[in-house]
Amino acid sequence: MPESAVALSGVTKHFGPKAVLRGVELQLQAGTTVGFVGPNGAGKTTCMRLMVGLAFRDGGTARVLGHDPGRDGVAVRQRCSYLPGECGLYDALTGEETLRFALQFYERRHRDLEDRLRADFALPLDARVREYSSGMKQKLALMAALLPDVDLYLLDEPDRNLDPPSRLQLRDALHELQARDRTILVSSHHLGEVDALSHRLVFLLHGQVVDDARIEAARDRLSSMIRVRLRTEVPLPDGAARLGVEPDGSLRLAVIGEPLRWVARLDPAAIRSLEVGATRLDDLYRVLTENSP
Amino acid sequence: MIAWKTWREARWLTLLYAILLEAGVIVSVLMWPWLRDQAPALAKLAPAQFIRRWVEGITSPDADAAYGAYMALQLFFKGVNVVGLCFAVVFGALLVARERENHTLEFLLARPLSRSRILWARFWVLGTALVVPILLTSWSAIPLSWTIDENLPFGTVTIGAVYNALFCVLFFAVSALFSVRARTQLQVVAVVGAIAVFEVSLYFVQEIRNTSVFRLSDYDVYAPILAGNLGLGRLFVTRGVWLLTASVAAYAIADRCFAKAKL
Repeated sequence: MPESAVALSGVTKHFGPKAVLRGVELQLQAGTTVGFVGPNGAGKTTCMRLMVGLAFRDGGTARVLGHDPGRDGVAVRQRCSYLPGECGLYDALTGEETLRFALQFYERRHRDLEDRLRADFALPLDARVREYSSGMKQKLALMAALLPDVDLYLLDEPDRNLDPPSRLQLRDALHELQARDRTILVSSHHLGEVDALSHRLVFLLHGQVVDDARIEAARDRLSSMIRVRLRTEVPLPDGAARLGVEPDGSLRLAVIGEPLRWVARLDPAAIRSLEVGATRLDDLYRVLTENSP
Repeated sequence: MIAWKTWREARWLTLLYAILLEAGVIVSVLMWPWLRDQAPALAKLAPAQFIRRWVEGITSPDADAAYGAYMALQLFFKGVNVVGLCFAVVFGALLVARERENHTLEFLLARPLSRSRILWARFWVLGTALVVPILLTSWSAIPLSWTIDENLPFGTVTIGAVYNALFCVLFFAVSALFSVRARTQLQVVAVVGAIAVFEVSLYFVQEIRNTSVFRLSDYDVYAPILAGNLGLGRLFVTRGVWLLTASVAAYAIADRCFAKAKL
């Protein structure tokens, strides 16, 4: 049985009368990458803060890299790198000074990854951070978070403010950490990318981790879904309910009965693209969140 | 590294603070010959008993005692108490509230350092930035006084400056107490500023002025120091120990509050 890098059990957290985490159960096995998804306010950031000892749970138990983060946060942070979601950087420091400041606390760093990210991100490291755009600040924060050679990486929306090329560079960097058997917990709203990167997904809804049975039920429901993009407006056969229209004009439909039989009744010439049995993470996300309290 | 970064944040503010203190010293010293001549006339205008005592000190027939009394009033009671306390509060706001306001606190606390260590590293740097200009500008009054043919003894000036710095550190520590919880720097300045204004208002009501914290740092303390009548030992035992204890207590509470403070 592989060692758990993170083990949360029954973790609760309140902000005043509001329950933010309501009995979170979460296990991260060492060497895996887990996508942490959920709507805004689900408690992802609070959960990550608890794991590094920046917030303190009200109940439950937590072990991160063998330590209780609430009591021994320093020991956790020595072996864990955390990228905050809303990461402010020191405007008066240069990019180079920021990196030096952030990395000096760790014994080792990934030198080869550093060289690569310096080249890929191409940040003006001699300039002061106040001159950086929000995307450049995010890249700098990412370098500060990814370069320490530690066992666990907790990344809260690492792709925030990044353009598509930078997101690809981030993905490559995370693949490199995966290849070194590091444990990564990454939250993001770019669901497709999290899905492609992760060994496992954890959904957090209203302060609780969605159990596997509920996810299975949602997947079953999605198996009857079709996404079809038509060349021309044609009447659709009976037996399908329209769920919505995608930005690219694709129709999302819920089919009664066997989806392929329904598709067979469509004029093939009218179909530009077709996806049977929605497999996209954002579909699952939509189904899980649409009926939640 | 935390200390270096803290100094980077505070260095220009410290320079401004030192310049303001030094400007006060220069103006005070250079005004003395004029004020010495005007003092008898001013004595008639003094409304309150304690203000009359200031004027009596300044108009003393002993020239050295008169200048010492004047500098006790100008250098410490007026100069450091006003400028020093203002910057004590500002530095207190810098301590943590600024990090929270600029959303850098989470980035800082994500480092593998305890909150106590972070707070202490920032506290001693900003505390030093608060204290050193008080000492340097107070000492600068000594050679400046020679330009108007007056003398200030190094020892008594040093004792006065150290004690006055300790008084400012108390306000700095109290500001730290609010800074670890405040969301903005303005909140710290507003709360500690309000406390200071309240204490000043107590001080200027003759009947209740003994209840004001400013009684620990007023003319009646500094005039005997500069006159050589209140040595370091006695000063520490009678007053300094209270300032020190209160400062340590305020810092200890701040440290405890910071340990569990929200981001």
